[in-house]
Amino acid sequence: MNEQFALPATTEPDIATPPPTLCASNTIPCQQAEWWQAAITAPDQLRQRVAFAMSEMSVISSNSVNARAVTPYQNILLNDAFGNFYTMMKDVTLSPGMGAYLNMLNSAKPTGTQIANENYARELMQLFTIGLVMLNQDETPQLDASGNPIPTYTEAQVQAFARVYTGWTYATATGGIPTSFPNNTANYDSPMAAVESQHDMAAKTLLNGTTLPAGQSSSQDLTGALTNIFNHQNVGPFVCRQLIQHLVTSNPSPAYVARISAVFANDGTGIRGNMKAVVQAILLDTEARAGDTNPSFDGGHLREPMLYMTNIIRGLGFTFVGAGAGTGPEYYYTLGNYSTLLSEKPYASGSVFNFFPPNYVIPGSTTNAPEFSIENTASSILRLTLADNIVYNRISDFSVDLSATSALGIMASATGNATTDSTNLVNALGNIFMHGQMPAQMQTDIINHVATLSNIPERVRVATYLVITSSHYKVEH
Amino acid sequence: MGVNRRTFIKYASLAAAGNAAALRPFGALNALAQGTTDYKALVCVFLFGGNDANNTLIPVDTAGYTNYSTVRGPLAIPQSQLLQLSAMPNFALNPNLPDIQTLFDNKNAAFVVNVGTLIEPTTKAQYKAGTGLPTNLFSHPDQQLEWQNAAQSGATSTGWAGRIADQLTAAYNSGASVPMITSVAGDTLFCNGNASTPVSVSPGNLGGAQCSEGTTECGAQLATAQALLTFDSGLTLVHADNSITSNAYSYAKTLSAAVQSVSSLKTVFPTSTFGSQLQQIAQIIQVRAALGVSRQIFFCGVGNFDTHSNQLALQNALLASLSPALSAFYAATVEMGVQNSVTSFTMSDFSRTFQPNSNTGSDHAWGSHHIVMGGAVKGGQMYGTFPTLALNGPDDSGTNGRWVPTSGSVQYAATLASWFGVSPTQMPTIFPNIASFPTANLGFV
Repeated sequence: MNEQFALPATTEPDIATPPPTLCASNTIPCQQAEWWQAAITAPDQLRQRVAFAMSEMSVISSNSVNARAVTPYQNILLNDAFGNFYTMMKDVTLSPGMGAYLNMLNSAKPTGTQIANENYARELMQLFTIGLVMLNQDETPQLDASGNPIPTYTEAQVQAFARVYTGWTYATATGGIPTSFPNNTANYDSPMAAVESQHDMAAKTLLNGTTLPAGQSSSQDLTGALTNIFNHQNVGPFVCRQLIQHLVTSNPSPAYVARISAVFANDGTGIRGNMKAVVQAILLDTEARAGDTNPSFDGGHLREPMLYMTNIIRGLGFTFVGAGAGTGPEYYYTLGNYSTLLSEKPYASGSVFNFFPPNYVIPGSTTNAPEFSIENTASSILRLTLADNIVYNRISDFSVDLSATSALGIMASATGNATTDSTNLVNALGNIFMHGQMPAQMQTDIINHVATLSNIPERVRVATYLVITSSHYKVEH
Repeated sequence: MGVNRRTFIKYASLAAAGNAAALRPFGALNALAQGTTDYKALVCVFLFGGNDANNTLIPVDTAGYTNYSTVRGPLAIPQSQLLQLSAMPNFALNPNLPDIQTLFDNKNAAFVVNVGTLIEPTTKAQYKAGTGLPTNLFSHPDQQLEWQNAAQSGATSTGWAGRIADQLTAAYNSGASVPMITSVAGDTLFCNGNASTPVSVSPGNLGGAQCSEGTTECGAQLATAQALLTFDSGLTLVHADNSITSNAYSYAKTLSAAVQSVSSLKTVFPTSTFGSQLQQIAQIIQVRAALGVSRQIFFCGVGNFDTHSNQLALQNALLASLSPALSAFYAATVEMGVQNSVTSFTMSDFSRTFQPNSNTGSDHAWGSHHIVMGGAVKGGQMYGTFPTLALNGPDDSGTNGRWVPTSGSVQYAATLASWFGVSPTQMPTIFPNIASFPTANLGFV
């Protein structure tokens, strides 16, 4: 893990101007291609995973944001993944990508007839940092005397924060303060800049009784507001539980969450918000590691479609054979054509609420399992079709060898004894996809089935299909 | 309903003689039985993000329009562009709703105005006092959930359609081979009951999963894949996914067989998301006999109504895609002869502030205006009390034009449920708060 922490970030290059031929008319495919390529091939996999989790918690979407603003945003999350949460929050807030998505960009001070745009003010608190209700450090809600949850903020506080975030627009080409507001010349690479004449200078009453005095500049107000939020007691439990859900398990115990919240509050050296310490604690926690030795430990989470794709592409050893193969930026875009059928494409969420909500409960149960929000009888069938395309080497622009002479094919035919060969094949797939913990009955069923197939490529295809369509594989645990 | 119920039981026993999906020879019999049962369907069209009702239905009497255009400023739509309603001359529609104008004037659509999440009738003073209110007003997910579950908080884990299915499935759909509820827009709380779960379908993809091995091996592979779903490993999430996948196999088999037995509807739908979702719903209604259902609830929806900036362009485009899709859907019900048996209605998180923000947009509000459509709808009029469009006025919860609803979304839902067949005695089970309101029926259908 220290090795992973130490690796430099594999960031995504800006989309060239003019754009590459492959995305000449629409830059979104190039931005998504970069995402897939990094997710599948970058050495800094832990950083990529954490950044991906953060991108699903502080969401922007190319549905309404220019793709040229998305790559710098992804780079912020990559660069800040192991830094301090305050830094990430501030970088996200001032990013043109987020500014455009939740309208802090070009939000002018209220006039007599128009109010300040409340979008970023509300969602920064509701979704990115503190949530709707007061939390204990284990993320369970605090209750009032009547047993009801206690709201974290009021509509008046949303309006106060909305006034804080007024006055910001694109920086000039050199990163400076523009002379007019709004500045309609986009600069996606520099943090937004403030035009003071458009900033609301009145006093603002924020959380926990904190007041920003009248007359402060945009930056002073922003620092005051972000510090006010950062120090709210909810941030640790709210952010850490979701990070655990993305990285480890849908249903962490309250004690697990509390242990991580404590690290968020103080990394051991008195620092609050140290994300490297938080990530390390999440992954090394006894609850995270319980499944290592006990395959029946009841945890884990459903692989979401994009991670399902990346895992299989890597696991089976698909190689890229499309435009640019081996010569430069490789155009990994087509993978999104498959994941989108299952409701996901990189940075293309339908709303700021991500592809799935963190508090989703499986119908008819009390089981919190976020990714199940996009797992239903429709997506289930579409995923079977996807698996069929995968084992038939029909992933456009990618190629995999599952023939009799491939590594799996050789294993599936080495001794000529169908049972022995099938056992070795299924064991190999179990090692690739289920870290060697395929349940015995599943293993037996698949071996018995594929041992009846004498056509070796078919044996490999069917065994692979049965593994990657099984619920045991789909649920990472 | 007594006569219909008896007829239904006869029909149900036919279907129960075998898997209804596999009974294509019985299709004609089913259709005959269907003709004498009272088939009904509800279709929920969810406008995710909070549709701005203030720019959907607009007063056009002189004082009303002047007030509207003064307060709305940059968001005001010029009066000359608005679509005047002949059935309700003091009101006009957003220019992008010409089909709704026609449906309304032909009395096949109505508006339910200033309806929103409430747990009891609520005044501005009560709102200010902060008691007896829905939780987390103005929050997208919470208000979406509360519209869908008709409860005080999003934490209630069943939707009102799901609870209707819990209550009515045995009486109406006992021989059915698919659930009462179908979603063409993924999983939503609306569809989930205590005992019932919906079938989710992807529009245009009813054909089941592709398998490229030979026919024999595809059958064998399917058998093994299904066998893998049956053993209990004790892992909660694996078990949950097994259950979904198992249902998926079963429903896909039924639906793909059913749709193969009919020719396509002649009605042409737009190719928009709304269009393809509603087209898929129409196709499933078309094969209702083969599915063995006499009651169905459908869910579809589209997002991006959260117009905090650039509102005019964004909302215009969305309404322009909604209008022809709803119109095509109504035409399809006419083509199938079920226009009086299918009632469609909109829901949305909330409306938006009457006062614009400084970003050419508007922010999260509360009471909204909704469209109900169908031959059974008592159309060409509005139901409920139109709010006084005054900032800090009698209907404003604050000072920015967030209207305190004058009708509860639970009343809206209960009215639809009553038409659908929910009895007065079942009402409190499905809508626990309904007794807090003066009436459970707003009278629009």
